[in-house]
Amino acid sequence: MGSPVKKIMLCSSEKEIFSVEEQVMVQHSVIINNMIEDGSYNHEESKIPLDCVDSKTLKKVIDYCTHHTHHHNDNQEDLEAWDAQFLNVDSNGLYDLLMAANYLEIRNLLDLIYGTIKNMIKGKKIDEIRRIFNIKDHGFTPEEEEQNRKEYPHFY
Amino acid sequence: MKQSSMEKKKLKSFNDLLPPELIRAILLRVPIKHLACVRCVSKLWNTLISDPNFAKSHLDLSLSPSHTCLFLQDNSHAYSVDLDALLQDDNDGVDAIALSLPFMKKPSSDFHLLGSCRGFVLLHREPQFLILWNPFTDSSKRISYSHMVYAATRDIVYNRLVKVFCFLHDALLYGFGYDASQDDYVVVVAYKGKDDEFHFDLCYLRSNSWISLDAALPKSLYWDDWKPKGLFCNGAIHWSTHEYCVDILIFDLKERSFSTIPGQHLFKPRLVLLGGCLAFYLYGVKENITEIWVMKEYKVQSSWTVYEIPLGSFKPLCLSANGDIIGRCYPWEGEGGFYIYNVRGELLKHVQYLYGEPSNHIRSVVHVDCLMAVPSNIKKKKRKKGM
Repeated sequence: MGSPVKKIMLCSSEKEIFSVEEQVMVQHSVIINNMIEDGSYNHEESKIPLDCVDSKTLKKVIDYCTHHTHHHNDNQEDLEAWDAQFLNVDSNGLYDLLMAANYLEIRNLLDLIYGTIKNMIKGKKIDEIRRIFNIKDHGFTPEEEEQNRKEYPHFY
Repeated sequence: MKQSSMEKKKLKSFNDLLPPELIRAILLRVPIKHLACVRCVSKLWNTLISDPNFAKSHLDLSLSPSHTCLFLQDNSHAYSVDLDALLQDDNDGVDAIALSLPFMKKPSSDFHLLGSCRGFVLLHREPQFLILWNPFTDSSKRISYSHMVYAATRDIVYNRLVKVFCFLHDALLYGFGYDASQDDYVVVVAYKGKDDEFHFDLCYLRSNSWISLDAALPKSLYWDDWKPKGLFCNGAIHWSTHEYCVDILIFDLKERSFSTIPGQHLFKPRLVLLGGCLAFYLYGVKENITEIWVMKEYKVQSSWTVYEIPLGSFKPLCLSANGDIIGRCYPWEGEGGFYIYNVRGELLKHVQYLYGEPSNHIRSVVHVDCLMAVPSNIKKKKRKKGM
């Protein structure tokens, strides 16, 4: 066995520290990859502060990256089933994950969440979409809203 | 305390929790057919979708390109069929949607479909107009090619003098494509002038400006070999031969140069674009079989895939994401509607029209739906009111 697995420290908004395999984060997060490559992360003393990611979300993100690093050879069906289970969270949890994936630039996780939210929109009626996404103030004037409802009654 | 901040968050809407650029990224993935509805959900969504860059990004991202087949029925009616809907499991028939053709006056018999490219269809109307049309948004514009009519054409004397340049009969080569380096649509046409010289003109559709590029024409081209109609893919327009196909002639729109790529040794091939891939289809090589050769990867010879469809005159229209071919057969050979075959030539599905088949619809073109406005240099006038 060679040298021990290199770890990096991630710090959540609650100042909780998570120790993760460097390779796991480098492979998935463009931002962390850049920090390691350009030497701005010092293994002796640095921790990466993620002020806009809470502990619960960060733990999920790390789970995702770890699973996809160690199981990337699994068959597609198993991975998809795992992803579906992984994203079985409430909508706020989903938005938090999306923000975190965007902040850390984790492309495959971003695509996964975008696709999931897209499917929540696709083929639904407007009233239903507004309910799912808790959009109470749609921003249209009463006249515009009435005009739309008159023009496209089948959308509502 | 924590409880109350959670409660507060719960009350917040999607639009408050996520920044607009992430909402935009999600909306870019929504298939085009759902966007008309989705834009009425909120003002913010409507603003994001209405942005002209959204239309372009939506098309470029092509995560779920939507293929539509446009048919012309006699000379005054057009209708469209959603080819993707044919692939869905739960459909029991197909519906043809009537479209109004982009002509100000009622058209006469003298217009033709020249091709399609990235969301737009190009029509030609004698004596001297091209019409660029987005059937999905029903926006269009006219482009005059009067200079060519005078440079090229025979004078026909009937009762009066009529000068006509018909793309289908008078052009040696023509094609409609898109030059990504200029972000502009381009029409190319090669023709023989009154001066007996060969000419090659390009029209950039954003500015409606024609340029002459005679020097680009290959010197040793034997014109009679080539079918005039070109097809656009991978930044170039492609032409095939009438008889034996050995090479495919290509014109690269960015480099503005001609070259050839190896084709297949096929007899009387018909060039077609299937799901963005170049393909040939042939009748009569084997009895009651339509052979279809698809170049699955552009310029990769080993990627040619052969389909043998057990119909003597099957017309392929589209290749689905998992490699099935959607097409039609001619009325003398079977029932109307659409047929879907897999790579082994097995019939997967026959989808018929729900409300009877529109008659006489041989002329057709497949295009991708897009939200883009007709390309133009004129900046749109302020439309702040109301939107």
